[in-house]
Amino acid sequence: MRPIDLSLGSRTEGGWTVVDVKGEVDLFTAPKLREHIVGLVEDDERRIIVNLEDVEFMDSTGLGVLVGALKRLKEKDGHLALVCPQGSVLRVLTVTGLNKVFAIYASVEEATTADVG
Amino acid sequence: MTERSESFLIEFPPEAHYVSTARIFAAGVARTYGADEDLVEDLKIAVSEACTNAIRAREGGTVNGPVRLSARRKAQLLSFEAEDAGILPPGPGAEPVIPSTGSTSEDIIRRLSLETIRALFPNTEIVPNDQGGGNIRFSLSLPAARSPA
Repeated sequence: MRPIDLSLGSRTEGGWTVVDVKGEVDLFTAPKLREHIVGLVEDDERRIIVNLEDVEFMDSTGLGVLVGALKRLKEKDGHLALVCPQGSVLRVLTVTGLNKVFAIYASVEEATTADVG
Repeated sequence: MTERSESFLIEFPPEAHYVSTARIFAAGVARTYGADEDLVEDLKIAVSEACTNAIRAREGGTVNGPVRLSARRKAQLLSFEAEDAGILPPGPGAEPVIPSTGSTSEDIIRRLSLETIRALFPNTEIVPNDQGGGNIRFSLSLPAARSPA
């Protein structure tokens, strides 16, 4: 069995919890990302940035996790932002139209300084 | 002279960690015929979606056996086909991609998956298979006058 090609870390920056994701997000690895984000929301984190800068690949399984996170946070009047500067992840967000659903930024700095209300 | 066609097949157990193997297979075949890297990235997404659907169908018990992903090159066309679920998915535009309230994550993923393949490869077809379901088939155009590397 292949090792899980996904590493996750959390840090606080500018009043946001930043989830740094590195690797590939697919059917095999998406549950790990889901579990991580759900844990943060259950710990009452309300402002979460998912940093996808170092994600080499993501399919709709990963998008489903992000949509689920957005729904959970909205239910708690929270905010979810994505950092996704370029590449195939931005491509999949664009072709699915989800770039219109998520707040997407080019960098963590840009996301933390954005006026999200 | 008749144009020769070449075929490739990967068959793997319906387990999630093999989806990346399927992506590597598809990308390798496409690169062999000189496909542009942007196209290879799109192909990896589409193959990942198709194989994910196939694995989910087997988890759901609608289809049994290994997942098969085939590739066939004929002239400047490279076609991929993955065996999918026993239930034929709705046609394009049947539902919006953007999820509505009340959708479960599973619903969202399933809908996103097929819509993603169709968005990346508008020639995507659902071909009926002998298990009463549909295979997902799509093709990409290869650059002209390029021999396999």
